[in-house]
Amino acid sequence: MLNDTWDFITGLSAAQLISYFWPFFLFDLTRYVVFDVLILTLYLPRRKRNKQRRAEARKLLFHEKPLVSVIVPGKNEGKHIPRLAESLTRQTYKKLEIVIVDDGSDDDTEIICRKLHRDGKIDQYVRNEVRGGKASAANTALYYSTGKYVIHLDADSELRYDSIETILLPFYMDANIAAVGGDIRVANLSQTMATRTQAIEYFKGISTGRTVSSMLGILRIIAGAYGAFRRDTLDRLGGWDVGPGLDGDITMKIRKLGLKVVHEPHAVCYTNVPTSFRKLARQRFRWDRSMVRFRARKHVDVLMPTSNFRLSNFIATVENLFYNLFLNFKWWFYVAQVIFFYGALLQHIIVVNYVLYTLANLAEFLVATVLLRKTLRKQDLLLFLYLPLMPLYTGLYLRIVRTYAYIMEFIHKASYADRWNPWKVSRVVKKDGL
Amino acid sequence: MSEGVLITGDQNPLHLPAKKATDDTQWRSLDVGAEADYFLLEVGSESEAYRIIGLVRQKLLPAVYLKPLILINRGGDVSKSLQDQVDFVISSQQLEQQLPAKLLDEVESINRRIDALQEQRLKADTNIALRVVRYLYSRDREVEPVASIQNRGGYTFTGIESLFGGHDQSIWQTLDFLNSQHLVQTRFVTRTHQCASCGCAFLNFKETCPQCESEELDADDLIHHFRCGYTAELSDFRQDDRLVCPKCDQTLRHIGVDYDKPSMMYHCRSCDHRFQEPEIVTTCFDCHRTAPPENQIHRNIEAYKLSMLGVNAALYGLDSLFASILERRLQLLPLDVFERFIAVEKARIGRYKVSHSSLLLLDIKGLEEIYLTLGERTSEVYEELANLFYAMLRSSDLISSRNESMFLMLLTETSPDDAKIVEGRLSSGVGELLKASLGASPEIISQIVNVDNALDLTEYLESFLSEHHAE
Ligand SMILES: [Zn+2]
Ligand SMILES: [Zn+2]
Ligand SMILES: [Zn+2]
Repeated sequence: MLNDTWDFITGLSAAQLISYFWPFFLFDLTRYVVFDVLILTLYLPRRKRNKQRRAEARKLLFHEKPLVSVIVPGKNEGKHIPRLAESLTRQTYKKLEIVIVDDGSDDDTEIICRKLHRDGKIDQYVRNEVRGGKASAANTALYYSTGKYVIHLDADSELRYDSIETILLPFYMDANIAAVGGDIRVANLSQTMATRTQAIEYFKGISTGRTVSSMLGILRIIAGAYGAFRRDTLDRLGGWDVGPGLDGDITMKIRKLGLKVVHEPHAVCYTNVPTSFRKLARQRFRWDRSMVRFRARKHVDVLMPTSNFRLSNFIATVENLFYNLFLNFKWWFYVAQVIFFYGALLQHIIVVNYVLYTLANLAEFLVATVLLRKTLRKQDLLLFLYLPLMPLYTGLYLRIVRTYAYIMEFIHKASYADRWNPWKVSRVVKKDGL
Repeated sequence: MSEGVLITGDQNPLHLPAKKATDDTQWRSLDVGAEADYFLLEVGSESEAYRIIGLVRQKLLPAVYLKPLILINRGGDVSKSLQDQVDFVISSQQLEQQLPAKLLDEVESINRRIDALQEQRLKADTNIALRVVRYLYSRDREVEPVASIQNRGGYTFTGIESLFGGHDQSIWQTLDFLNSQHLVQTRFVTRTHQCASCGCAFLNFKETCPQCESEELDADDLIHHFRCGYTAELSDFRQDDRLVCPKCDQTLRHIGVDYDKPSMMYHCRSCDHRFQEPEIVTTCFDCHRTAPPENQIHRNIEAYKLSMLGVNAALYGLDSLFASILERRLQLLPLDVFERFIAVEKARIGRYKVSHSSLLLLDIKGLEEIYLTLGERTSEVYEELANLFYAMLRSSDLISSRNESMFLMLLTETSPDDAKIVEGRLSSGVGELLKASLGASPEIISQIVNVDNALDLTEYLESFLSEHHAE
């Protein structure tokens, strides 16, 4: 059978190659090639050239020693807080203020945090008896924090020892930078097959993808799990807006102010990811819906030629809409095309696609390794053994979840009723058409 | 039929025929009015009323201090506190005609209970605990706590206050003592905080900064505007008399609809600390000491009413306490039951003629005075005495008492020689215990009698009493 496939490949003309495998050659390959080439030829040499500037920035940072607020909003996260507070004391950058906001927890979060607050292990603890949702909790934390920079952190994440220092440096290299995204890595990567595939996805998507977007000035999102912001900017915006995609939302709002948003691949934050494909599907369903909502609805204005029109914002949005929405539906078009017109060649086409995408994943993984080299651990490198799973993961699993989410969002406006916001908030937002 | 004594204050008495008037000079006499059915009080002012009620209630003879008190109201309101301290309030008009039948019934029922004290009613009664017990008995009702700013404990018991002549601390002590002796039953009414150093119930509860202890705090509500997610303190939203969101410029309309108040924040003016849980401290209005509430005294405030044991104490004195403790611990038998056991034992021994039993009599002189010396510790000593008896007696032995200090024990299957050993141990044990507690050994008389057909318990006791208690 493999011989047949080999014969099939060698017998292909260039036109046939394109018509049978156009999604790979026209879209994915170009994207991979573009990204990888950019990383290797532009980003890495530039980072090397900037070595001196980074050293200067570091000097400035430690000379000024601004107060940095680490804000941790959340519900029922009390169990993570003692370890988090403890791990923050081991950061190379020490002038931190830890502000915990408890968004109506119904477990023993209050007892744990009140004690930490009394013992001086955390600087501020605000308990909201009534749950207000993620945005309200983050805004409460912002209100009661005083640092010049504000780091938004998830309670169950863990920072590499030099992470805060690293995430602050871009502010000292470019005064127009108002927000810096940290590099999210998977903490529980060795746990299940689901966590391993996510770990590889994070390397590609977050580490490589955001580094390139950042370099091109089209970074769309700063992860809520770990992002640093200038306080003056957050104050101008009145903090976070309501919604399941509030991380992407605040990033867009900062960009609209004409300020820069960058990704820092060496500012590492380890986070726990869903351990089963079922739980993962639920998480992605939520993320994908919010993508549609905030890109395609709320910030549709960046596509309009208004006074504060910016090409980079336009491109950031178009690129995102294109890759996520268009490419997603193009994929189903391709599947239909193959089944109806090339049904006889189905198995060959599948095998070839599989090989092509596996090779592309391998190439991407290698580039990520070069990009992140000093921050990688041994278990990160061992992930390459699982690369052959990735075409199934990204090509089938994620696509199915995503398609479902998009359809639901367009048809039902379902995300207004999401479980991350209390109904009282969703109701008002839905009514006001936000 | 019923005869009252009119007591007047400084005012001129109403001229009521057929009623004797009395004045302050006569009050020096011990038994003034002892035979009257009630006292009528006619005074010009409430303070005068309190003074005279105090005079009555602090007399020594139960027949006087327990006497029903009827206050004549010559117009105007009578304060609740005064009403609580007398038994009845009537108007002068009512007095002109005939006292209401209902009132007279109640007077009679109080007097019936006073009469139940028999000869005790004319014996001076100095023990405040006993006086309270007798008062509660004669009134047959619960005495309830009344909130009062006049009383440092925050509560007083107006019903019995006049028995105490103004020492409110001793009201609490006496009621606690009665409770500890199971002489009263309590009913929970409320709870107070009292100063741990002086007992004063007037405490100032204050919120303070947990960081610098300052009391100068501001408190502000947190506001969460739903539509934009903005969350800040209320003062940031205040614009003139409206609430306007500083982020989205919308006017807030209805709490719960477009905004809510998820929590509250304190701000310390002296150290700028912000916190949600202020430290609560209490400062005593009297001694000015400050302490956290958990270090102050938390006290249950209760209503009191006499228990069965208390009724017993009212009739026979607090000395019967020992008997009641023994009753609990040793199953003290009533004397007539004990007598029947002796008769059975006599018959058994007479029939089989193989065994001996002994009767041991123990008379502890002055046990009835032990309360005067020991006060609240009395019951502890009684418990120890009971334990001593319990340790010396076997389960087949029986015990009874003739009065508060004379005990009878039937030691079955015990020869008079063996009984001597028990007798020696018991009387030396009792002697040592009382010496350790009272500082002096009381006189203890003990006798052993062989239980046989010749023994007539009633006769024996009569002759013992006439020999040792010649009165
Ligand atoms: Zn608002
Ligand atoms: Zn303070
Ligand atoms: Zn005091």
